[in-house]
Amino acid sequence: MWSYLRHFELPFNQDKCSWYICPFSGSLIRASSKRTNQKTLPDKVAQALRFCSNPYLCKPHVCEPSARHRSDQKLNKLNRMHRVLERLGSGQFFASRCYASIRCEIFMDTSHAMAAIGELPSEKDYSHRLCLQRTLLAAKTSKSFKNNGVLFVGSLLPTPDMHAWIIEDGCQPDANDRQWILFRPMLALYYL
Amino acid sequence: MTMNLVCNPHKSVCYFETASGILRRDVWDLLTLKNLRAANFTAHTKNMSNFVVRPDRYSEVLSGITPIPPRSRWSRTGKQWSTYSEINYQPLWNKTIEDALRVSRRILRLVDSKAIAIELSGGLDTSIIIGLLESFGMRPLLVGTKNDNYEFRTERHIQGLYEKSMDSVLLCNQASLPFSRLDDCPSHQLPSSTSIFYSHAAAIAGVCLQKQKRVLFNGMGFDGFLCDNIPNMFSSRIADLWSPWALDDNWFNEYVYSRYGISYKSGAASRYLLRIIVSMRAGKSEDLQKRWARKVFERYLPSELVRYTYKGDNCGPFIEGFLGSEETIRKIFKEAYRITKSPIFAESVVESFAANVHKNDDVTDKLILSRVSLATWIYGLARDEKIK
Repeated sequence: MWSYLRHFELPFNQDKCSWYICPFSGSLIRASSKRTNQKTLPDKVAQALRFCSNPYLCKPHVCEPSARHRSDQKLNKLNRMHRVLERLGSGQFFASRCYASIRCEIFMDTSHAMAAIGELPSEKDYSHRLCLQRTLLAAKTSKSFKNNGVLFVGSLLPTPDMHAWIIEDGCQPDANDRQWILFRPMLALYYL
Repeated sequence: MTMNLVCNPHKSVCYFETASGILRRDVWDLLTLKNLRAANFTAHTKNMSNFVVRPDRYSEVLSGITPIPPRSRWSRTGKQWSTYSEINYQPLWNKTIEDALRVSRRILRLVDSKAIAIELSGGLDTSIIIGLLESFGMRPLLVGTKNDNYEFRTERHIQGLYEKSMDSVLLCNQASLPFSRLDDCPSHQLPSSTSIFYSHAAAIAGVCLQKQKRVLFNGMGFDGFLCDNIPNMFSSRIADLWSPWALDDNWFNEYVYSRYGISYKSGAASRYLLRIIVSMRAGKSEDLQKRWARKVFERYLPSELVRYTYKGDNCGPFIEGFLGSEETIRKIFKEAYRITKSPIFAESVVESFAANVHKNDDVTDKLILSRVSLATWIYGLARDEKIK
């Protein structure tokens, strides 16, 4: 099922320059002139941004989602898709976005998808490096993400460090991600 | 092979002279041009890996001189140092939060409650201290700096909550970023990476002095005993890290706060309180998000700190501080180069640091901290005409 993963740029103007993340290459770019996004901010993105700005509004993680619904078949399928995203890597950002646009809804919500992804072998070893792959895979496989989720890519300015995370229904669904609050959202990815 | 027992009963660092076997109160007279030029600058970088200065893990910067931490006892056999500590951190049974409160109340009776201030960072550790003192009916002054960076919005939220309900002074962070006002940093006897944060301490001390506060509590050391894996039987290494000298007697106290007549104390710098808290956590595994503490101290904390485990990151202020103070850093490097003739203080080094500081990698950050603190040390000595 194809559903294009759209983008909305959220440039950050600072002093006389601006910072933005290129929606096609995924690179963090510094421009010497001010940059604004003339398009209307979609409601879904505006709602999610409110939770980024005030993380204390987010629903706290109470407990890990149950592993009851994770069959071996689901995990194998998930692992295959994860490997494709890994192979594409963060260097092929647009190709990764397109791959996530081919939806494969095997989880009811993104919290369950995230918990299952966290159990994959490469995630256990390199989880800190695979935030983009993890979030794109969660977006691709979660049924609820299509209606309620927004994937953000952000930067910890003035460093070049970048991070990807999801806000869905007023919640950041990855219980193991403590870093997301450090990053300023600069690109939003969402399905219509 | 002979064994020396070295005891420093003072509240400031003393210095052990290897050649004579004598413990000296200071080494100002050894800070000669010849000794500075012969100093081992690489050793300073190595020493920075330790949380506290301790002789058994110290590499000599000035040849034949080892700093002995305040209120600590050591034995020395050949070149080997070992602790000679009598602190008992063996777990006590059935200790509860009530025991910790009882001990805290007893300790605080020794302090004039009107003279107390607490650092307000917006994080968990200082919030625990604020909550406990509030529960004792005390109204301490809260002093801190407000950081406008995006990644500190959760800390600002907590600071805002306290600001509404308690007497608080929040300074603008811009004036007290790391690396600020290094040319004003007091001259000190050995290089210390803490000196980079001098302006923060000086700004807070200024407020305390103005508001007539003589004791300032901080959350130093809380990470150790609230996060670490605590075995049922404690190893001596853990006990050493939690000795009062590691938490209470430090560079800030010796070179900044004491000059204003202020005592800068960790809320955990009591061996009795520590023993109770570690007994309560005995057998618990590593808890990096401090979930145990959030639950145990729940009624003394804002609900946000109980339900969420957010934490800011200091790399932004580090970079902004360096770039904002580049001119001053150039000035102190120039002076350090003039005195030592060492290429590690060449002008090109500052340029390379400025080009790489934003990379936010540990190796570069450590190198910058090490070099700038060395240059600050030499600059301060030259400025105050302490070089013989």
